[in-house]
Amino acid sequence: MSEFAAIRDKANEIILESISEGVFTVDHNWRIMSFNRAAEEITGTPRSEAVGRFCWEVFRSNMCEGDCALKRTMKEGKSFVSSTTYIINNRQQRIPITVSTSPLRNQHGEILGGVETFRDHSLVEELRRELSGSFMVGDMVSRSKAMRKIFGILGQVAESDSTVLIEGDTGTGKELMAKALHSLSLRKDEPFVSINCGALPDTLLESELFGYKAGAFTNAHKDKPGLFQAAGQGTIFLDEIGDTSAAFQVRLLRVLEEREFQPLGSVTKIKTAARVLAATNRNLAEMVEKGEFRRDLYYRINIIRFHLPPLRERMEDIPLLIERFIRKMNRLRGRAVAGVGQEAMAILLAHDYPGNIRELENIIEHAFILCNEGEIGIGHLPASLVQLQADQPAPVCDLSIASGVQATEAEMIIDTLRRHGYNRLAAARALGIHKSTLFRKLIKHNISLPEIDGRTSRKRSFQG
Amino acid sequence: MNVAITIWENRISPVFDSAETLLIAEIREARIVGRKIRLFQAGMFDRFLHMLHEHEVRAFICGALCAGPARLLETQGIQVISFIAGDAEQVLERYIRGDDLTEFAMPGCRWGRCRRVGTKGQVD
Repeated sequence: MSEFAAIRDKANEIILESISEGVFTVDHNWRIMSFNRAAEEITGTPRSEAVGRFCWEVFRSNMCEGDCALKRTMKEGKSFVSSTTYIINNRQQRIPITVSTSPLRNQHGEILGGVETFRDHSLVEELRRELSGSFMVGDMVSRSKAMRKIFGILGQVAESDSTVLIEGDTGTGKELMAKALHSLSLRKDEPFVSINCGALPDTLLESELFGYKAGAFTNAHKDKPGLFQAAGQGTIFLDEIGDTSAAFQVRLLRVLEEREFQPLGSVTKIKTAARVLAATNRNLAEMVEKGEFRRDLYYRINIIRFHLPPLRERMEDIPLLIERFIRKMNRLRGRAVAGVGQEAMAILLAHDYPGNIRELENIIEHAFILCNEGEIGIGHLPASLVQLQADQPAPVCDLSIASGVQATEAEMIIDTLRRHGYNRLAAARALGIHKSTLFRKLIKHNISLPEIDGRTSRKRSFQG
Repeated sequence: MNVAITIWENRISPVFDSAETLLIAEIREARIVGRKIRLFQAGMFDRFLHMLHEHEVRAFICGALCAGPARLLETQGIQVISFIAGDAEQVLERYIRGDDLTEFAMPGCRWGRCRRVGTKGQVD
């Protein structure tokens, strides 16, 4: 080997060892011939163990068994660039990567094997997660301005001991917000208990909240502590407080003011130190005006109020929420769903979500039943949702007769010009108008014409 | 007991996530007395788990397997031997004999790496 060739080989080796992309080469039998330093790092396999082994045993990509890029390269003699996939490293982790493959040829052009280069995308993914994480509090995520405003003060509100009223339509995440307030507060290690006040009749609700003594009513054989007692120094979340009766509202007001309650059938009062968070999907202020909700209780619970916007007012959150639900369901069900396809995403973004985030989560859960891996497509979405979009009339910008006539006239002119090879005179005759009228209309409709005008090409063809 | 192996042609499938074929071997007194081939989708993991239960599988041998599904299988009482490569029949034979399967470990997975569980056959 000449000195120059030796230096060139050495330089190639240094380059291969110093780049951050993993590179390996295989022979015709799929045995690894070379394996660079980055490939060792990404796969977690030392070169000494990798060389000589089958590439799928070392690379462990989900493409190996079915859609191997290297196999296609060797078969077709072509390079393939930047396929996205993942490998499983020796720490049992999925590592997202992009893969490029090329045939390895000798100086006569014969294929000797293949070369695969791959790049670790973990960092990119991690940064993406960090980015979405900056709009995250507790289990809530949002990029919307309104929600970020709430997130900004949530910490301070959580640290205070004030009663908080959370308003928002059904499915907007009121309970998630209550949990976030609890987990950010100094009471985070104490219990968080929640109850849906609208789901229970008065007597049952009172016995659930305040508990009862043995003998308080038929079948009350022993004492039962209520949720206020169970919450201890923690937080009690009263959901759908707007659906409670006036009698219950009086009892609750007394508990909030005196910080003590009386279990059913008991003659003694029990002190409570629990923090109260309340939520409703109704407009309490309006209910107070109509006399449907006690004004004094309203002022007692409305010390700090949050209003959670419906999902249709924070559409920018839909992709973020979808990604979150997919990640959660992939984890829970051991699936490998990559995301949502473009067409399906368009449908999801066009929906107005009367059921809010809960509805979106249900749609993704529905898609998971039909989609095992790859991207969620239109076929995986609920038929009702797809049908709803199909039934929507196409957007019409201007419905006036005049604009319709204008559009039709412009179309006719363009069509006639095209049919007459852009010969203006012939087109004007065919349209039954004078040539100068045609020119006026061309300017009016802002129709530009090509360089040829029909006459030129005809002349040329005659000359030819 | 029954042992399940993900297979790709005559080999162990390299990655569980993309495996499609399962060989279920019925073992009695250290001998294979029956074999079944079942198709499955790794993406439908709950269905896969149900299939293992239905066939009373007590040990599962496969290629590369993520920590999540591995843990789920273990919590179901199934012995997991993952990151194994090579000829499926040979591996099965050695497993039945109660041999150490370390020599079939995927590259980079020896000496306890890849957190392979139960490298030795446990046949009753």
